[in-house]
Formats: sequence, structure tokens, C-alpha cells
Amino acid sequence: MAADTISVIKLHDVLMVTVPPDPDDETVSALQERVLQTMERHEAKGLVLDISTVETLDSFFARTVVETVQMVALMGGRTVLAGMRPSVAITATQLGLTLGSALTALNVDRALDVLDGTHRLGDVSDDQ
Amino acid sequence: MATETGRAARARAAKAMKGPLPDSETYTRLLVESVSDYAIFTLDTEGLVTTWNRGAERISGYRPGEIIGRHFSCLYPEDKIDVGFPEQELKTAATEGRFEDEGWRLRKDGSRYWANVITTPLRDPLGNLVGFGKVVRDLSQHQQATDRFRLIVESAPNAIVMANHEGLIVLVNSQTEQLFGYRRDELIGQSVEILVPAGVRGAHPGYRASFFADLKTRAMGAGRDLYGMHKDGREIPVEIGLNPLVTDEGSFVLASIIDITARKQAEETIARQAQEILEVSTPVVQVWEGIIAAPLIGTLDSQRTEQFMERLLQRIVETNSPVALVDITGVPTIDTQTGQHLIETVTAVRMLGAQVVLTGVRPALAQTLVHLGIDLSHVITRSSMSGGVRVALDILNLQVVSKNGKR
Repeated sequence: MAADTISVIKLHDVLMVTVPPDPDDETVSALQERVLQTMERHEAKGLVLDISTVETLDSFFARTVVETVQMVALMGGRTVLAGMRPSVAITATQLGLTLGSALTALNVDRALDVLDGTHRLGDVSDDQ
Repeated sequence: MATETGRAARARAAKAMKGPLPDSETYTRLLVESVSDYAIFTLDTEGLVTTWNRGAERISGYRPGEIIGRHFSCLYPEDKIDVGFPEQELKTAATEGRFEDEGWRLRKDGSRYWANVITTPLRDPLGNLVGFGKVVRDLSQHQQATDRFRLIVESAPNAIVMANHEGLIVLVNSQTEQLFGYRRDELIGQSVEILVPAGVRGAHPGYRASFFADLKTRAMGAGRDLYGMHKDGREIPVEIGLNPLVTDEGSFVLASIIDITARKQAEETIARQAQEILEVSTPVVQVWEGIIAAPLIGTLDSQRTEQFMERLLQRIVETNSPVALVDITGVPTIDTQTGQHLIETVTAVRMLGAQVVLTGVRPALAQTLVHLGIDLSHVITRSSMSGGVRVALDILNLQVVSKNGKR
């Protein structure tokens, strides 16, 4: 089952999960479970969700991601979505799906920078 | 003027004429003799001509003196005489009470004409056959019209298929033979569905029925891509115009078929080139590591904006650039829909993990955007490209330092 392939990696104080290409609802739910369990065990400061292989986005997945971000935040961590594909971004925008308070990064590398605080995001409120 | 009674009128006429007034038989005789549009003549039981009217003289060229007493078969072409057709006509008329035929007849000068001939047996009051009456109409003009029609159909530049009410092909031209790869004898009498691709064949009789229910000249399948099927099974893109033809032989439909393969290819080429032009006119260039710039030029319609968004996102991922400078100096106006698309683009870019800096917002555009209520408050905007570059460098934590150490 695809749910078994979800592995949450710990890199120093950051957690990382690579989401498989076409996750079904069961896999997505399992992902959330694993992440929260690992968060509890290691008290990581952040989570990187690698979605670079995800080709399609449905509302269940989007919702679960947003929930996970909120749950991780409650447990004291920040989440960065890394490597979204252009086609997924377009679909999500057109469907009006939002990512809540999730941060985004072009790839896992930059995601780690974001969590480190070394990659500064252009925050609108600071500049204008 | 006082109205006259019938009797008074006859009396007056009688006074004016030199002889007695004609009776009804005489009138009949005068009628037959005088009519020149129809040949009306009689034969005896053997087939010898006994009377001959003006119309007969006009149509076949014989004067009464030349033909009365002769056998009427001289009015027929050789091939009909050989098979005993004239005698057969009389025999059938005698038994059936009437015989109508359309065919070739011969004039005195040997020329042929297409005629409609009605043969009627003449009987005395006791019922004995005393002879035959013939009424002949010269249909040459009709035949001429038919020939002319066939000539027009044959010489038409398009493939023409004529089908009857039941959907059977009754006429095709050589363009049809060429287009579909059939000889005409393979098509005539066949159901018109033979030329329709297999996938549509089932629905086609229904379309035919609705056409005949509302006979109107129109293009077939408006808005749909139409295909015909060649004898070898290949589908040909076509355009078809339908003309109803109502004759006394029934209702027909005349289909004029144009092969649009060449046109379709041209359309595809144009579409491809338009796409290429689009790509060329919205370049996305890498300005620095991590910064790409896309100057938009010209009016943005929905399609163009969508394509731009796709390309921009693609390039962001390819170049791994967190900052995209989108310059709209060259965009004269924006409407609400385009504004929405731009906002969508900004959101999509953010989802990727990058950021749009919108530059080149001129006063006029600023006014339009505010008036339209397009909310760009969450987007970093600058009035010039250089302002945008400054922001980009800031985002990337970069600094431009002059060679002698000053910022």
C-alpha cells in the first residue's frame, strides 16, 4: 500500500516528507498521522513537505495539507511546501484553493534555508 | 351598354356570319386542328394515320398530305421499330385503355426529339375498337433543361451528390468519384451513408429526416467538424452545403461537398505559428541568479495571460528563481478579467515558492486598476523595472557594491 511508503526523515531539527506522485486519500491521511507522530517524538522546529513529484491536486489533499500546517504550528513548528509543479499551482489557483499559512519554496534546498531563517521571503508588509 | 342575353348574342353572331353557326362537333374539330402545342392525331386499327393536326405538323415536320395513310411507325427511331415497340403501344392501349410513354421520336428530317406520348383506344358506341388517338408533347425543352442540369452538376468544381427522400444516391459528378474514390456506378442506388464515416453512420438517417422535415438551403453540421469517408476507409475533412430540390418526381437534396484538408492544414499551421509568436513576444529572461524578468507588451487577453502564466511558472522552476519581475510598462490597458488573471498568476507563483514583483505601473494604469477595484495590495509593485530589481536584490539578500567599495 502506498501508505507504507511514507517515511518522515529528520534532518537536524527539521522534518522532511516526500509526498508520492499520486497520493490517494488513504495515503494523504497516513501522511498527516506520521508527521504528527514524528513531530511529537522529536519536537522539530519545522517541516518540509516535498511535493515535487505530485502531479495532481485534489481538494482533499489541499485541505489535509492546510490542516497539517495548522497542526504542526500548534505543536510549535513551521511548514514549508517545496517544489510545487507549475501545473499544480495553476490548477490550485483556478480552483481557488489556498494554502493557509503554509510557506512555499522552489525546492527542498531553499525550504531548509527558509526554516533556517537564512532565506528571506519578501514579506509584503515590510516593503511597502 | 345594355347586356345581351345569350340568344340575342347568338342571333347577332348568326347575322354577322355568312353561314350557319358551328355546332359542338365542329368546335371540337376546330380545337384539335388548331392546337399547335400538342400533336393530336388518330390512327386506324392497323396503325395508319387518319387525322393530323397543326401541332403534329409543327412537332414532327410532316404535312397532313405526307403522312395520312402511312403507318405511324415512321415516327419512331429504328431501334424502337426493330423491337416492335409501336405495335406494342397499340396493343397495350387497347387492353389497358391507355398507354403513356416518354421516349425518343423521329422528325421528318431525321432529327430526334424527346416526347411524352399518350395513346388512347377509340371505340364506337358498341365498344368496338375503331382506332387510336395519340397526344404527343415535345419535351425537348424539358430534356434540354435536364441535360443542362447534368452538365452544370458535372462541371461544378465541388463534389456533388444528389440523394432522394429515402437517402439513396441518384446523381453524382466526377469530382465525387475523385474525392471518395468510387466509380459512379458504385454509388448510384446506394444509401448515402456509404460516404459517411462509420462512427456517424448510425445518427445520419436521423439528420436526413430532420432536413427533409424542414427543407432549407443550409450548411450541414454547423459548428462541427465534418468528415467524409473514402472508399479506402480514410476520413476526409469536408464542408457540406445542402440544397433542397423539390420536383414533380419528389423531394431531393443536393449536397455540395468541398474537401477542406488543405484548409485544415493551413489552420493548424497558423495556430502553431500564433503559438510561436506568442512565445517570442513574451520572453522570460534570467537577469541574475535567482531573478527572472518578463516584460509584457501589448494588450493582454485572457488566452495570452493564461499562456504567459504557464510559461512564467515553467521558467521559475527551470531557472530556480525565487523572484520574477513582471514588467507591464508596455501594457496600455487592463480590464477586470486580465487583472484577475494577473492576480492568479501572482498567487500561483507564490505557491511555487517564488514571488512576483510587478513593475512599470504607470499613472494611467494605476488609475484603471484602482477604479476597477483590482486588489493588488498583497503584491509588491514598483513604477519602474529598476525599482523592481532593487526589491529583488533585497529579497535575495544581495547587495550591489561599486568597485571602489561604495554601495
